[in-house]
Amino acid sequence: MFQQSELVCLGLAVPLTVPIVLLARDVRLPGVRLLVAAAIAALAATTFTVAEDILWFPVFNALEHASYAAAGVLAAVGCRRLAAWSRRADDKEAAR
Amino acid sequence: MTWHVALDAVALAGIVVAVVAVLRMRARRAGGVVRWLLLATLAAYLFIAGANTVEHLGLTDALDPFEDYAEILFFPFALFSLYALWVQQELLRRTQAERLAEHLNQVLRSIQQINQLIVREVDRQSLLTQSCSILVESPSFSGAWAVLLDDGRRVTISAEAGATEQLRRVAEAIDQGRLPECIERALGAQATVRIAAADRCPPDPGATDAICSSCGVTLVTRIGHAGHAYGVLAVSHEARDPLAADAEKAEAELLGELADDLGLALHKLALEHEKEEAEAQFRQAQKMEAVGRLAGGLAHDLRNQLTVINGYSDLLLPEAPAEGLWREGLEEIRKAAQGSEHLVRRLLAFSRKQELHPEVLDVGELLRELQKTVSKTVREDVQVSVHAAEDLGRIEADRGQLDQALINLVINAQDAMPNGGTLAIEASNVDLDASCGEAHQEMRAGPHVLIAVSDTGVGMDHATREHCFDPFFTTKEVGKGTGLGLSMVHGFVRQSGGAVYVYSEPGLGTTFKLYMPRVDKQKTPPQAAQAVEPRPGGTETILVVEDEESVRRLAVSVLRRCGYTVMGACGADEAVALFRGASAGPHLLLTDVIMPSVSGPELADRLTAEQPDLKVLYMSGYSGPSADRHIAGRRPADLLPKPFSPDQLARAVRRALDGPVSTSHL
Repeated sequence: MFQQSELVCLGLAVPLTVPIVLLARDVRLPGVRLLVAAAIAALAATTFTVAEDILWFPVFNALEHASYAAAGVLAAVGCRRLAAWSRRADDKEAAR
Repeated sequence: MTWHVALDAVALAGIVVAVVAVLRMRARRAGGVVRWLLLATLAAYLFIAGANTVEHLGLTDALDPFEDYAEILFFPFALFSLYALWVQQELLRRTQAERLAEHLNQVLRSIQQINQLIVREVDRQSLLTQSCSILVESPSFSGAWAVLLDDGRRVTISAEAGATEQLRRVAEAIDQGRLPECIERALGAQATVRIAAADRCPPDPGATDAICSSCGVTLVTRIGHAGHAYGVLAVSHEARDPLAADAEKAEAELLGELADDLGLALHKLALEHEKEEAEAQFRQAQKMEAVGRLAGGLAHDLRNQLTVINGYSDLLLPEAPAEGLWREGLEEIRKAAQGSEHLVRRLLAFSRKQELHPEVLDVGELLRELQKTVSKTVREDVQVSVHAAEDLGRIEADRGQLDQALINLVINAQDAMPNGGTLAIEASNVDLDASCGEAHQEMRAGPHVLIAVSDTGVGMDHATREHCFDPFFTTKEVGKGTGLGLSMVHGFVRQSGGAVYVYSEPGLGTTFKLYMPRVDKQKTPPQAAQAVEPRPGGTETILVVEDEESVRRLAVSVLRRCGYTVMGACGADEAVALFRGASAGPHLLLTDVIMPSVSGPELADRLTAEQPDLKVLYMSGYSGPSADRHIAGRRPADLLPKPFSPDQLARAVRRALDGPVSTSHL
């Protein structure tokens, strides 16, 4: 059966992901695209969480965990790139 | 369930790495709000992943409700984080735009300063050096370099400021004929060439193809005007922020405009230089013309005096005793007069008023004959080399004068080599184009024969070169040179339609180049020597008109001795009176060409109108174009140039009397 909280989460995630994707097109800082990809992976995980309650539990459950793992890896790489850029830019600013 | 736990562990590890990275972010660029929002988002995600792991490990389900809250919070936090990043990015862009505007303003100020410099600076080297310094004074550029190349792409002028050591190596490489690719591209491009870091020459100075060795140049632009490339202007920057890439385009355009301004300035300076040279040539030509006119006038007066001295010497010598003071004195007078006559001829040659007898000459043959004379004339320590091109063309000139001109140059060359050396006389065909005429006023475009006389002597400094063709200018000791040799060469060559130039440096020898117009005519055959005949005479009546009394008296005296009936008049009015008062009209009018009030030809016109069969013979101290102008339309044979000997006068009179009546007077 569906859990009410999972549906609420999905109901919030989908409409919030749309502006995230749209806004991401205008942000050109290094690593940001990976962070957005991580957010999409998290949305996929939320979707699979709901789907596993309806059918093919093992498949969607596996996908859910894989999506969480992918989101974690993407977030790690994205944040590292963003942090590296901020440090580089900061050093140049200090030199100026 | 093991793989679930493994995946959850990966997610957890990723989040931990991300959190650490965010904590290490520098707030100044990323912004504090961004960092906190990212941490909040990651915290929410960490909670989700952590709760999942705990659940899968079967430790507890108590975290489930908090996981739901975390999932509900994650997406808004993610959106806010992204929005905060966007805001931060826009703030950075604005700062960057302000910096760009400031930077471009600095470049514009530099351009403005350089344009002010262009207005007042007249030296190319100084213009480029100061321009580079101005560019580097602005914080926009770390180095600036300008290099001008000649047509052979060799460096003529190089100026730099800022990072110079590497650029000097580039300049040396260019001087050796190796152009860096960026300069090749800039010379062939209309717009400024931007050099990305990846395009730069390899940093390893030992690499065979590394001309620049990391010279750091980022923008290279062509300095040119009206399609002509003078060189390149290159600048280097400090390392750039990726967001500042847009600046380079505007900066490249400004730099291109600056290079165009510099190109225009260099073009203007080149024109100024050409103008100054043309003015100097014009002044020199005017000076030579004025001095030539003076020399010509002087020669005319001297000729009258010499006519009298020579004439009376010739008349008196046969009457003088065979030995004794009278004969010796007269012979000395005659010798001195002949020397003076030679001097007058040189003056006339310089003033381009001498009478030339041009003939078509084979220069090669002339040089071969000259070589025989020269090798006998010059000292033993002077090595003579004469070379004429095989296909050498012919020229039209007075042979005697050309011989004299070359001998003068040879003597000067020998005198310039007191310790011996090499004297080279070379002749070749040259085709001068219009640009030669533009560069040298006296030169005319067309086929020429170039006769070059070179020596390895002491050479001349600038001041001596400037005055070497001036009459009476000499560097020789008193009594060893008249200062008329080169004047004669200059006058003769100019009168023959050619041009003469001197190239000399102190200690490096001298080369005189005579450019004589080449003609496509057959060589004039040599004339047979005329047999000397006794002075001719006659019984006809001759009217002699000459304003110079001594010359008139001489002419009257000589002609009377030849048996003629002679009437002498000092001017046109007296001549007309004598003509009308005579019972029988004269057979010949012998008149000076240039006289006060009425000229000889005008008088001839008046008298021949009354007596059409009157024959006319002119005499004149002027010869060449000056005399020709006054007797235009009359037969050349009707002119007797002064000074003349009694024999020459008697022969000319006889020839005129025996010849036909000049049609111009009929």
